[in-house]
Amino acid sequence: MERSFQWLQQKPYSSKHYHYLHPIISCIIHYLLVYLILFSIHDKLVLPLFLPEIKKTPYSITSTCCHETTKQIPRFFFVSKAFAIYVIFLFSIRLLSTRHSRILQNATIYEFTWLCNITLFMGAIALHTCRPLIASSFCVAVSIDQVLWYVDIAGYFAR
Amino acid sequence: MWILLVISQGEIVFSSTLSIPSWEIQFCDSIYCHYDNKLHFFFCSSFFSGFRKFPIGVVKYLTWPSTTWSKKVTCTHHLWTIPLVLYACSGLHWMSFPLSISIVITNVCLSRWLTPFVLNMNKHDKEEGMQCKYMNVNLSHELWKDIKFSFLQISYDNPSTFIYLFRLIWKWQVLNMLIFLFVLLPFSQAMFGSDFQL
Repeated sequence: MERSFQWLQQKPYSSKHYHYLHPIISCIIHYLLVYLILFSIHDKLVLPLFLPEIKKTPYSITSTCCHETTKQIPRFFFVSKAFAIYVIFLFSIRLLSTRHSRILQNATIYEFTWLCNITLFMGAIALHTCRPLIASSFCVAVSIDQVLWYVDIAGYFAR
Repeated sequence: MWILLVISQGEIVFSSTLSIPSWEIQFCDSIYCHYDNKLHFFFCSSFFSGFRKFPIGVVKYLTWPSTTWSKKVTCTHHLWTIPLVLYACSGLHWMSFPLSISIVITNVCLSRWLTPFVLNMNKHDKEEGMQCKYMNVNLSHELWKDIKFSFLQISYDNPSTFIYLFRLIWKWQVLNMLIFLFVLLPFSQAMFGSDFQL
């Protein structure tokens, strides 16, 4: 167990970063832990403490919507599918474009753990399972970066 | 742009002529002048350079030689993720901000644990002009290298991992809170009212 933790931990200039195994395993573990931690906090802490009228099945990846008649449900599924398709497109095209260099491809796998990419993936799951609070929380988490993108783009084309 | 310049200059004149002999006001005034001068410098430099560069620097990585064409093609989600989620959720709930704190902490700590700061390139890649691939995923090792504002710097004294992460997370949260209170919530209220349903 301890060896596994040590192997997972990044080390500057270690040879494990130049093979496929460490990037892939660390990327999967990153996504899995973010999913488990955030969905646990949402379902077992935030909802019971602050919004007790809402009941969700913990870790459910099937729809747990309790407001089936509300106008948001079609929007949830539409945006969830859009995110899922875009994530597959983004991951595929980035991996394919770097296939000539193993190091660039490994870097691409590591970079899938950028918060903006995780927001797309978790946003798709959260909206598919009718947990809009998780999707909007991810947006708030990346808001400083994404709002500054507007400033940078507007500044670049301002004249 | 000129309006911003005039406003900025007007505020400097106002604050620099303020001379009430109270240490509290002088202290606040000096802080105000410090940030105001920075804003003034930012707007002036942006204006006279014709804005043909990125004022903040978060997008500048797209101009690096090491940035692949696929990354340039697939970067547009930075612009439409938030509007699309706001549309889907019909606005924002106030609990989004406290939950976002746990998201930032989780991701930054995991990135620091799992992801290297840079990847050295091999001989073949060096021939293409790249010495190393800058990673710094989720800013878990240093502030993004294109952001030069001194008041945001957190690695000036070569801090330990814990101190660095602490500084990063609290500054990130303060900025996120400002964006949440003064940009996202007003925009959400204006566009969707309070329709958010859980």
